Amino acid sequence: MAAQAHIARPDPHTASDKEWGEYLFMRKNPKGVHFERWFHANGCRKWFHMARHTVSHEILAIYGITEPAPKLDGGEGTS
Amino acid sequence: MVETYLRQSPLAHRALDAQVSDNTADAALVLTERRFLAKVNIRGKVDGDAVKAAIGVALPSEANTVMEGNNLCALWLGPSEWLIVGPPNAEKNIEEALNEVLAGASVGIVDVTEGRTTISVSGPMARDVIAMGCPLDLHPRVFSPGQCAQSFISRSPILLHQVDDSPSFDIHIERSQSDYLWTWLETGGAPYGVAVAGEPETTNWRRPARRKATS
Repeated sequence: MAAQAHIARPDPHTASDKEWGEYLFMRKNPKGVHFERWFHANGCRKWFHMARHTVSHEILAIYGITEPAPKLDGGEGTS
Repeated sequence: MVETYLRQSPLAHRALDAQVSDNTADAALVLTERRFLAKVNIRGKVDGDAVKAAIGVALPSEANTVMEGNNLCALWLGPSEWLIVGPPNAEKNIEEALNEVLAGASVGIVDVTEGRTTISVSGPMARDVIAMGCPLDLHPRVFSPGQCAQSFISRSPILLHQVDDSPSFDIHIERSQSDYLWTWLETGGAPYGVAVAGEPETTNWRRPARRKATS
């Protein structure tokens, strides 16, 4: 199970409908490095973060669910 | 712990004691319900040395491995989660000892004894029958005694622990799914021959009973 990580939640009281809609529905689909949230459903049932290359499936970093995204050489891929 | 007079194992309705075979040595698959094994779940940032001092078994730091000591097993479940398994009725002492030594720490200690049961599977076909429903690679060069893993058998979440290379496995499963798993194992082993074994004595709770007919 995977989905885009590090999505900042706007303040629901002040966000416009457009901002809120983008927060809820709009996701990156990069060709390159992608920061994702994963859930290890078939094992330890932990949530964790993974930086993954969407073309080569190379796993560039694994880090905790509360940790910020690491700086990677390739940077985030372009969508 | 629940009141003894109310306490029934999840497979009690199967009257497994009445099915115990006199000759389990020739069976391809030997099943035993390990009733009421003590199970205490630990979750959080734990001082491993303090735990070892308190209950006599170290918490494994390597993924999917088991440490043994003081008649207990400590199974690695996740980067900050373990399960302590011990003989029946040990759960209260384990929980109390852990609560004492980890008091104030940000750690969850939960007695899950009554919520689960353990099915011991051994015999020459044990590995093959489990592999029919489990996505793990159980080849001896990958999965060997002293290893454990959380996975699924036929869609039921399980905790698999290889006890020895006879091979024998302990499968810890949620109470409500244990009857389903028992049926599944019986059915899977049926073409090869299944026998039910009695439980080992509590003092030697790690060894599955395996008896040869004396006649």
